[in-house]
Amino acid sequence: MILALDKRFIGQTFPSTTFAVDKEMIKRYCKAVEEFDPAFKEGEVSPPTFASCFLIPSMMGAMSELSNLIDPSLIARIVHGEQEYEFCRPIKPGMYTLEGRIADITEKMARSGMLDIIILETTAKNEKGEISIIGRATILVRRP
Amino acid sequence: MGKETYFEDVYVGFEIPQFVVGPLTKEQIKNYAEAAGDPNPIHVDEDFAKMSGYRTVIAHGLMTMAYVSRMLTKWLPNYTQLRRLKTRFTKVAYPGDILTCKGKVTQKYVKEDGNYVELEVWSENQDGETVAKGSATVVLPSRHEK
Repeated sequence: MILALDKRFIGQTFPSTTFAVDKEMIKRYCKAVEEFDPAFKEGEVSPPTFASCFLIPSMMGAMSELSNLIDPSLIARIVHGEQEYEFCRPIKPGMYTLEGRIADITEKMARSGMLDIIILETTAKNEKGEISIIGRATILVRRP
Repeated sequence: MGKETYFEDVYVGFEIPQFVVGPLTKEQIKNYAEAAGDPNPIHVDEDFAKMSGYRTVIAHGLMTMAYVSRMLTKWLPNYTQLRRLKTRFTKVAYPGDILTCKGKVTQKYVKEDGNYVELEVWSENQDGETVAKGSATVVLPSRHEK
């Protein structure tokens, strides 16, 4: 039997990583979500949810860290249940530092069974060290 | 981007213009996977998706969130007026789905740094099922500041 996620991991931080944003990346994202607003056309600034482009790699990184913390058999039972962004400054081409931490771990009884709920918080800072985006991903782990 | 909307123009229950997208295509989902750097085969590999219990590849929850965001930035004169967005992914979206994004004001208040409006936001498929739902915070200018 696999036990619930250990609440000791609340507050655990992950090694910070960097993420380079360039104009082409922004243009590719706009094309993918068919965002044709002229403000984003040249890729000099990005639409708010472009944040997902660095959230996903950051979540992957956190997941591989988590795999050291939780039973590997649970990794396949993970669902991205919810996402929140606080948009503090627009993301423009440049270098960003991503800092990830486990903001919370709770559990909940759902229709499908017991769920462990992990809140992964990622803060993206620009080259000046100013917070650009705070992302909170709610990760659901279905208990076997 | 929308025409100027003032704080005084909105009220609790005010509905913002809907935004319709779709039918979603496998190509779009693949483009999103590439743009967002998501290697999960569930979005691009038909066989893998079926093995995982879905009838075909599925759209990213974050992709449905992007459309909710587009509804908001299309309504707002400037995208920087969107300060917060939260969405729960309640149902899978598939290729062929037509999504209608909707938003309704739930609260408005003035703080020292601006006029804030809270909205309930969601996205429905062609069968009226909610695929994503959540909340957003935006700031609007006041007519008195002109």
